[in-house]
Amino acid sequence: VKRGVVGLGLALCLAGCGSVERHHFATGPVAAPTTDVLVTSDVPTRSFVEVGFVQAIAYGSEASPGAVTRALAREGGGMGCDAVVRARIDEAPAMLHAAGVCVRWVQLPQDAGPATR
Amino acid sequence: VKRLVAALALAITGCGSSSSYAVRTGPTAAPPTTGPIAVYATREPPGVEVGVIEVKGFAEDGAIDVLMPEFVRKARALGADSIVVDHIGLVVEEVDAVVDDGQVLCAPIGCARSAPRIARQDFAYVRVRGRAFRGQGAP
Repeated sequence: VKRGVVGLGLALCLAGCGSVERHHFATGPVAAPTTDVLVTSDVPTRSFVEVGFVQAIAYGSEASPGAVTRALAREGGGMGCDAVVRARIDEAPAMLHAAGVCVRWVQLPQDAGPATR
Repeated sequence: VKRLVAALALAITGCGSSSSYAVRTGPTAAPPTTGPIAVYATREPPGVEVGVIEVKGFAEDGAIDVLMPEFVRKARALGADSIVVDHIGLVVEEVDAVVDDGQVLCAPIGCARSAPRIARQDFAYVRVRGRAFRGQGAP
């Protein structure tokens, strides 16, 4: 019976055992949530203000570039960001790590600047 | 099964660690900062560089909301008023890990423990690297 339980657990785990953690650190004022968030590895040329950092860590079957990219966008959207820039994805055995800078577009170039912490 | 349970228990109850360092690179030491710290990530802050900082964490201590406050604390200790984060990423290193503590083997003349088995294993942690600046950094 014990072997059966362990075997069932392992089978379930192989079938879909994974998770994605999301974290953020705000360096500027957080705004109302947004839903359409651009994720890019570049630093865009248009003006923006930095809002903070976002991070996603995926394990097991969830460790895919798509999953961590979606997680970055979701976390950035929760902070009211329009984009996550300078995003990068790193890989380790059975896990993926992604992080980026959460930004909001501004109209005038001179409006862009860092927030304080 | 015991090892699996132990690993799960550690994961559930919390298992992580972090470390950090700051190296002064400026010409003179300054008193610790008490005011605001400007945080940059996509461009260089104004002012003079006063140090380099690295913080790293494993497992739950690898979260950005754990690592960045420590980064800011290090910058304050250097007397900085702004920081730039140059790198946030995962680092994978090979380390020697004890995978078997050894076994106690007994015979009629007595018992002896076999040597522990050590193997190279991947160890992943999150690292944040950046620099601290002083002078005209605060907006």
